Amino acid sequence: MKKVCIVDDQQISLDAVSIILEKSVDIVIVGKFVSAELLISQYDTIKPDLTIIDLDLPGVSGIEAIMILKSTYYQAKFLVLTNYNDDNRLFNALRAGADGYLLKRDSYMNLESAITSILDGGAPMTPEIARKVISYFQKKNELDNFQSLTEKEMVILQYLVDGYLYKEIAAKLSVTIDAIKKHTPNIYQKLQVRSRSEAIKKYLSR
Amino acid sequence: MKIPLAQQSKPLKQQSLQFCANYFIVLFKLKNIANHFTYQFNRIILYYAFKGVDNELDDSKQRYIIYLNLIAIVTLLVNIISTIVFLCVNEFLAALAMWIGGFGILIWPFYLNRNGLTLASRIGYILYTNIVIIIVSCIFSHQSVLENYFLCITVNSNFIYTSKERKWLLLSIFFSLLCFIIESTSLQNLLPNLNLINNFEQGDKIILFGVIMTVVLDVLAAVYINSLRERSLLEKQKQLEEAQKLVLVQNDDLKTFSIAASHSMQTPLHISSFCLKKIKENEPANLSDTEYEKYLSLIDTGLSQVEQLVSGLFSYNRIINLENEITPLDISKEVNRIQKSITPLYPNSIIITPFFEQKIMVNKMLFTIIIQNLIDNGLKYNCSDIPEVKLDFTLNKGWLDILVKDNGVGIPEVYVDRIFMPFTRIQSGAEFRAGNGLGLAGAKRAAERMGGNLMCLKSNQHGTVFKLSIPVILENQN
Repeated sequence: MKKVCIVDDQQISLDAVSIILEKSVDIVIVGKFVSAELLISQYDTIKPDLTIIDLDLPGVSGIEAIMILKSTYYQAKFLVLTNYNDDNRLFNALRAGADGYLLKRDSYMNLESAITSILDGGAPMTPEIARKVISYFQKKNELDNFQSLTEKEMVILQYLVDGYLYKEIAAKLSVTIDAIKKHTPNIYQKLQVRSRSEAIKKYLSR
Repeated sequence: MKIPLAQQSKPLKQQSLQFCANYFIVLFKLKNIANHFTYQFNRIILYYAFKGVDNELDDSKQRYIIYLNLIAIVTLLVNIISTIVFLCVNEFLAALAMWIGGFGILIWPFYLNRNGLTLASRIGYILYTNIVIIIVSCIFSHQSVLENYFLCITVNSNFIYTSKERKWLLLSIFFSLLCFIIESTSLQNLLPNLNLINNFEQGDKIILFGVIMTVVLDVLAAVYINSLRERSLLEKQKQLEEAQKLVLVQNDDLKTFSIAASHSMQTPLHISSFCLKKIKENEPANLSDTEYEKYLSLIDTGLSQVEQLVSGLFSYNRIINLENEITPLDISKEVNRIQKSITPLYPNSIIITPFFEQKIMVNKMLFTIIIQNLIDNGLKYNCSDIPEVKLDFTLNKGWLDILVKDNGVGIPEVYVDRIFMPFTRIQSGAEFRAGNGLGLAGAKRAAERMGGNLMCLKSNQHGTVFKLSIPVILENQN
């Protein structure tokens, strides 16, 4: 039997999760807490395998509680169950050590499977949240692409974005047009684009 | 006794040498003085030539401003010199002054107010009016009359809006005074062609002096009025900036409030929706009676929580938008009324209220909201055998302080700083259901609307003490 505890400041949420999980034969609820302080004070006594935690708690927040408990109980697992889908809370919770992140909106149905997934080593996330995490890393990759450009390539790219012709850029930088023609394929390669318009689009959307 | 020639000539030689030395020293000093004046003059010209030149502007724009400034300086100097010469010498130079005037008319309207950075736009006001009036006076009276110069100042003063422009007005006054001195002093002997002063009698001079003084006073009044106008504009600007800051703060508050409100409502709604789906998906045969009951109970709780929140939001909004209407209120009577409405909800409770004979002028609705909330909280979150709330009134220098003490469970220390924030639900223990998190926030807002404050003075396991302070007017004083 896997021991699970719940932390949420809304009693109805505690009741709902209890009703959902009480049918499960593998899961037993060992604690229901209305604040993070109560969880922290009793964590050592109950030692749950998984803690389902809301982020917006009065006093110590959910993120702070995860951070505090993770520093002492390295193996502790946390599943965030919240209404918030903003990047700030999401990434702070993941950095603090959350193992899964579910939105209350559409997760009560699959809560049991999400708990099993975490306990088996998975990281369940609401599709919307998973999309945010993937976008974050893609964006980070794009930023890395721009960082790989040299100073001169960055200046040329800036002129390209501003709509200058090759010969105008050459005149501005006091170099030959061939030098500009030589630089642009390198820029496209580093940005992983094929044309000037794609490079401009990428530059503007970064 | 004869004095030897050598001895006689020595002092003479010495004297002549001394004289030569003195002569050269004076010359040298004069040269130094001249150099100094030249240096100062150049410095002033350079200062004004570069007026308004900003390093952030590009080179062509900077050059453009310098050229405009130089045109302004040259036109100003030529204008002054030619007008003085016109007054003193002959009619021919009138044409020159008019020509300069015409030049000014062409230039200044074009740049007037066009670029506030340039010197041209600053002195443009003064020169433009000067030139127009000289020309008009030349056309109608065929001579430049002294009053016209002071009329220039009067007209100029109407264009003075900032303290920087005021110094150009001073220049204009100086210019006109110079003309007055030339016309009314002994310079007329040196300048026989001066045809204006010759016709003046002693009485005319007194009248002229009176006119000048009137005009100067008029100018000073205009400057004073404009400085007042400027000050009032600055004050309005300051008020506008403060209002902008307030709007930004209120926007932030509203944003936080709306996020918290939606968050509080989302959970019960999501749970109700989940339970309905569960009931819909599973045929009653697949759900046990107990499960069915539990899901129904969750739906019921969820919906009543949403209802409670909506009602709380409505009340909170009403507090914010309520007009601060002040009416006479008998506090003892009002508190007794609140007591009567609350006591049936908490049968074993005691509410102790002292007798307060003074009638005060206060917003009755806001007052009731605060007191009702504090008494209700004191009795609701209370596990004493006999829940008790005690009120205490103190009237001091136009302020009414009300202490509300209860013997409830108290507020945990971690929440004390946040209890007045909307949607902060205090979990005082498993046996108490948390409220909607708007009660104390609403009470605090109500106190602020009344111009007062509500604070938590003390809170521990033996109870809590709240202090409400509101400014009041006694009915008899009113």
